[in-house]
Amino acid sequence: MREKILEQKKSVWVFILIIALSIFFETSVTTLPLIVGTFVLFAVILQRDWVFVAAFLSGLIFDILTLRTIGTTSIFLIVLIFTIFLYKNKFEIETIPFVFIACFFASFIFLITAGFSNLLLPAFIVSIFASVLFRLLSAPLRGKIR
Amino acid sequence: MPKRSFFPAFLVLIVLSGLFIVLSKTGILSVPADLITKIVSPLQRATFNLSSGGNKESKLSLENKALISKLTQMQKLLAENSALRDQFETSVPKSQNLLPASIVSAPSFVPGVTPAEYLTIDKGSSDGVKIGSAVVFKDNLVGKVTQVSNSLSKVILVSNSSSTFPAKTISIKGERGIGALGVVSGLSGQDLILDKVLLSDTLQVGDYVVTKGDLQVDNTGYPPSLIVGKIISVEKKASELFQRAKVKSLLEFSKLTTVFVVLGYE
Repeated sequence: MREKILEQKKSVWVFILIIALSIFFETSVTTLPLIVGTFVLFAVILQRDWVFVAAFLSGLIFDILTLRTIGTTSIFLIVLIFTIFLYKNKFEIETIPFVFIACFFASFIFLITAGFSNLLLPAFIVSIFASVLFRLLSAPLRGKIR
Repeated sequence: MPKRSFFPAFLVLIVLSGLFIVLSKTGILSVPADLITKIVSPLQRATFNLSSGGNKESKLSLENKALISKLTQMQKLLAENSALRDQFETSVPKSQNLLPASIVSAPSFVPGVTPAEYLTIDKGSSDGVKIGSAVVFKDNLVGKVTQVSNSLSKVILVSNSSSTFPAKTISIKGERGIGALGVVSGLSGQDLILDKVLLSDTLQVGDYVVTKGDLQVDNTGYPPSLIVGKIISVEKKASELFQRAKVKSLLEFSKLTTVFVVLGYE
């Protein structure tokens, strides 16, 4: 039992680290919507309500660092995760095609709201990135956190 | 596994986000936001400097820019002398009040390869920066401030497709006077378009494009005679109302690490 709790804590730290890196790189180095891809990925893998809280806090920090109105990215991410959870009741969401399509459309809409002109290629690249990460992380993280 | 309802968490956080938006608009969140910015921006700057690979301007490139700046100033002085002699107009050379700012981040699609979409600098409203303030580097126009917080500002580059402003050409081939008037719009990278130039005006490859100037009373807007770029090709068709030219900025925006915000004109 104690070992299981320790494994869960390690997995949560992996989750936090990936989120932090996504925010950091997207606010300083690249315009790829990494934060969107990361939260689509973890909403699909973890399916826990604290993903909402993480999305809320991450969105606040992201807005502060990109000088947007604080709260707008949080609302976007929360609605995105809620939509994914709604789909959970209808479809099998823990599949690479679902992750790819959800990430693509979410990134596309996010880039439109952010005012970027280059939409398709960044959304496609982030979707590939999320799909690859899903393939690598889904089994290890799901077993430890759920 | 029992079925969980996520709706309460969703609802609470949506309401909280809405509350944060309202608080943000009233400026109440500026102090905590400023604190977070001050903690994170040194890391952002370090990451940006690493990702730009220490790709600084070479000494020769800097000297070249300084010479071009002197040439355009010389042309401007010649035009002013001519105007004074002809008693058409007078103008007083003005000095700019410049605030140096370090670039904290310059996100691009592929870092170090594709051009930056915008810049974030480490100066904000507490340093006197306003929305609409021009940003320059050695008499070359970089862009305009579009968003400001207490300690950071977002600068849209002149090469951004949403950037448009009036400009004029200056010939460096020994011809006096100001050349054609037109409107510059951003394309991408270092490229811009000088459009809406009358067919009767002369555009030549090699001419320099400078800002016409649209300073407002509060010192926002572009000061006049800032170098925008150099004409690299001209498109002129007798069947069209206007001619246009492709302009290349003299600055490689991805290599900049420090810029200057124009706070005022004295």
